[in-house]
Amino acid sequence: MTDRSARSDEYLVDVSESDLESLARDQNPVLLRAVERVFRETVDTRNVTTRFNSSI
Amino acid sequence: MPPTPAWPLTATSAAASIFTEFVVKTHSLCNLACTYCYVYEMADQSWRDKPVHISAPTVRKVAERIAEHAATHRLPAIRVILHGGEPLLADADGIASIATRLRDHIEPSTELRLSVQTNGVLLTRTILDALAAHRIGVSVSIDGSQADHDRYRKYRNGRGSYHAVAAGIDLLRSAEYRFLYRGLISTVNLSNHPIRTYEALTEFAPPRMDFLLPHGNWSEPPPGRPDDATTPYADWLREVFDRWYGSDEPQPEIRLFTEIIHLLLGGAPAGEMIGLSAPTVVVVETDGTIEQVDALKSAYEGAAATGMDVWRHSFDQVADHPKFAERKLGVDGLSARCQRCKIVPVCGGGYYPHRYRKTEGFDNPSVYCADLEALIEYVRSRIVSDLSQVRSDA
Repeated sequence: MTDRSARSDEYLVDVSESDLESLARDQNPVLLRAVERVFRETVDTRNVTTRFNSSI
Repeated sequence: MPPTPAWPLTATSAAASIFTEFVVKTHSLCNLACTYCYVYEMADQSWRDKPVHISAPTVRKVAERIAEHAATHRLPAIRVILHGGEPLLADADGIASIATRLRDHIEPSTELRLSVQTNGVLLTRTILDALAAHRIGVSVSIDGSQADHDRYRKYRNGRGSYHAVAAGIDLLRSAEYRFLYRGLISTVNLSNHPIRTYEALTEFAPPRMDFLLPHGNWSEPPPGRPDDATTPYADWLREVFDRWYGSDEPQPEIRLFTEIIHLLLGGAPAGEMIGLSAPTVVVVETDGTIEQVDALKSAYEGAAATGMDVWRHSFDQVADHPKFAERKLGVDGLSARCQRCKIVPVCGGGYYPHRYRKTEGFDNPSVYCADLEALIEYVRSRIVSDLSQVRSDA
């Protein structure tokens, strides 16, 4: 294991709404659903409903 | 016993904790003897002191407390998972009674999503009729093909349980009961071939599945997980990921992978297994005692215990317990190593029970740190590559 020198949200992957159209055309269902989910999700911690969408 | 945090943690350092998932033990015994079970085969043996069945008064009190918590926080929905031991040992009438009491008390306050996590061997028509009548979703534990499953998930007489589990799942996914079918859960076993395991599970056409890392920690390492930089579990899961992600045919959702992708895209964590999340899960034992997430029983005797119960305490009071409070600190509550790591927005330090070491308690990365890093980096590389491709094609 290597320690990282800094923790950064730069590690996260940015997506935009234009990616939705591109992914739909490209027929990448997993990534398309993932991007759709991120855009649907609210940041409000009281909105628990969205947390159940992919739970067993 | 490792050191416990000072009471109380400062309010400024502790985010609000709202429980949205309640694991209710309906039966403390199990009809299987799986070799890796954290309830019966690991450090904590408190099951021996618990009532076999949850009583009607206890169910009523649990339901009242959950309704109180939901109403206090105006929760639009909560989840109750019937668990054990083996929860279906409560039999059809017992399950029906429990479900009725829970719905009667909770549904005036909030939507109740009721489900059961079962080993699958008792999924008869009688049981499924009761589950259907009370809208109880079903998730089944199964570890792959017959040979692989039966290696560890056995009856006490040593006989494998696969035939009964497979029959139960086949009945569950029949047209009559399929609306109850929530999915399959499989514990990763390095002895089992990953693709063979995945294919064996997809033969049951689950709507979703999940792969769980076997419970262990730095003091009691999981099987095949040496204290070095090797990544046996990531290597195993990568094979499944490639098969799943790259398939031209529709595949069931695999929660571990979808959550990693979701977190990589900046989404909020949906559970406690991965991602930086305040505790959202609380466990109620058959006697009404309230505990932290069950998997902590793999760490040490009493690791999950809070000393609180539904008779004397609200769930808000439970949320203020030091053991829960220390897990509400986000990144600040993680080890120094995790705080410096770029992966932490995704891994969240790994599942809390997996961080334990006798000398430092839980102030460590996950024992699976190397695997999590390798798997997350790999998934990231795939989605970055795919996004780059679609953007260049646009």
